[in-house]
Amino acid sequence: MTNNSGGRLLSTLAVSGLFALYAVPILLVILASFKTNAEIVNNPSSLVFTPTFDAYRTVFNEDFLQALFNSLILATGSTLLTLAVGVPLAYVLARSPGAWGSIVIAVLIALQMTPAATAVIPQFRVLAALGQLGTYTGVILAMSAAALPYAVLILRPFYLSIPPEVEEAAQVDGASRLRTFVSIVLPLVRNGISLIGVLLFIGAWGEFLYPISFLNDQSQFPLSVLILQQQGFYGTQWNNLMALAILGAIPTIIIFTLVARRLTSGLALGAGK
Amino acid sequence: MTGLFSPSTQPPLTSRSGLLKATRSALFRTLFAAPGFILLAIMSLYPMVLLVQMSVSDVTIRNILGTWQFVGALNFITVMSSLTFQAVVVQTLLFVMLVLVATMLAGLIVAVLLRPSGGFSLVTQTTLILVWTLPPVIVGALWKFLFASDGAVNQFLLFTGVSESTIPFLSQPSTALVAIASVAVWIGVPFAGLVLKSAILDVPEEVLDAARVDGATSQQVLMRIVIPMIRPTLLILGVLIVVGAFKAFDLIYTMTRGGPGTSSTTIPYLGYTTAFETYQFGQAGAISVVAMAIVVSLAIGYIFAVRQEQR
Repeated sequence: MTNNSGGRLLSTLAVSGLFALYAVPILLVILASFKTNAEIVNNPSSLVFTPTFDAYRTVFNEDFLQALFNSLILATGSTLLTLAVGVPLAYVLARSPGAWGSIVIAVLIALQMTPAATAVIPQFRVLAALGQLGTYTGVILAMSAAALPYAVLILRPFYLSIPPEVEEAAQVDGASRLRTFVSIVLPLVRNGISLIGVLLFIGAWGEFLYPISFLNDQSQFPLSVLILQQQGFYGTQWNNLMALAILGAIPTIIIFTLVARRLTSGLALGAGK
Repeated sequence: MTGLFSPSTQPPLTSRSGLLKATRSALFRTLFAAPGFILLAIMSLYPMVLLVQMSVSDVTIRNILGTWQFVGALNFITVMSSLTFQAVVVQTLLFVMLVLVATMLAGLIVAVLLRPSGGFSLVTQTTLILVWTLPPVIVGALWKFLFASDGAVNQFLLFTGVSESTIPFLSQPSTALVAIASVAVWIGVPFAGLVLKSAILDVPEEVLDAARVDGATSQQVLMRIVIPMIRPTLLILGVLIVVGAFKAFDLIYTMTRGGPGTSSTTIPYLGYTTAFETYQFGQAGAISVVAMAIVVSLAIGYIFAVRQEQR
């Protein structure tokens, strides 16, 4: 009895420690964004101070809005392109149990494991040949190609979970393959598509390697690159950098709170299979 | 033979309508798979061919967009004999092993801790997943702030007496790589914990009860029953963690740019800087071909791990 309640106390303490390990760093960053830099230099972890919006006022300028807009274009564009080509490809692969299907899946697994830092080196020449260096199209093509294997591998199990009889029944009724897909199959994998859509968007939102490798013009860079540059510009102006990081994280946090529960169960499902 | 472009259910090919149906089905599959295949062919597969060609050619910033002169294994010899590359290989191994072992152990602890579904467990789990969804560039900036010489981590270490002087975590060669690895673990643990938690929850309660009735301690239950039963998940997760650590670019770039010197550089990162910072594209190709060889062997390992779980 005493052993049991002692164990419970211990595990509550351990969970609290775990919570602190994740919550305290986030809290310190949020607090830092409301301090003046003098206060941070004096004591970066102080809890008592006069909050100020100075840092937010400094970073919330025209450059920020331009970068925010660029991030939206790149993240939305690459998410939509990946879904547009990935949703049908995953369906074909789910309905291809033979050797070809297995080979394609093996290639997709290898591609998913390819470091982006490796892929961008030869892509530089390919995009130059296509005349797409320095364009959003080029960056979106590269980002979508990088995300496609991941999207297909996560989507395929959702198609596999549909019993074949459902589609066969529709085809007996004379519906074409395309109509069967659009009106019967797609609604059944809606959850999978929205899950992967969210994951793709969150991933694309933080992406900076492709933009810094393929874009030149300052006015084209997304928010992630702006955050990188501000580290240099502001030096140790931590309050400004933290305010910018928080503003940059807001879109992903909003999406996260909208889908948190489904994301959590979907992740566990996708990873286990 | 049922392949990707042939129908999985064989209609009678003797009748005319059956043949028509089979052709239509093949056409449907081709049209549906084509856009994805074209994107991968242009942006992923052809670039890999180019990369191999680049690794055996003399390519610098002058002719990256022009014609390439074949030089055989010269780039590989140059790269392999360079002390920087040798050190980077060791660092990559160290980094990947550190991240793998720490993420696995911490992930198991988190999975066991969060297994009872209480209110506080749920709050903690949600906080962890929120961190997992944060862009690495933001997490990198966050920890750069916390790891600074006058940052919170040093304050904490001084206050608790663990350290007597401030440690410049990110600006000295002996700690930079380990500091980045610890942040990679911090981001990776939520995912590992969640996956392991769902694997542990799949272990039948009766099995655990039977062991407890037979007098097994909770430690014995974990080591002798739970871990052997979730072995396939551990294997798959292990490969995913190794791949994630090997691919790590964003955290390194954000926190140290691979420095000081090349002390926190890994193989793929070295490939990138050799191409886009020193413009030795040929050597970058050779380094990246080595990276791809590692990737392919990891992929084969992963496929075997998945096969084993499905059996």
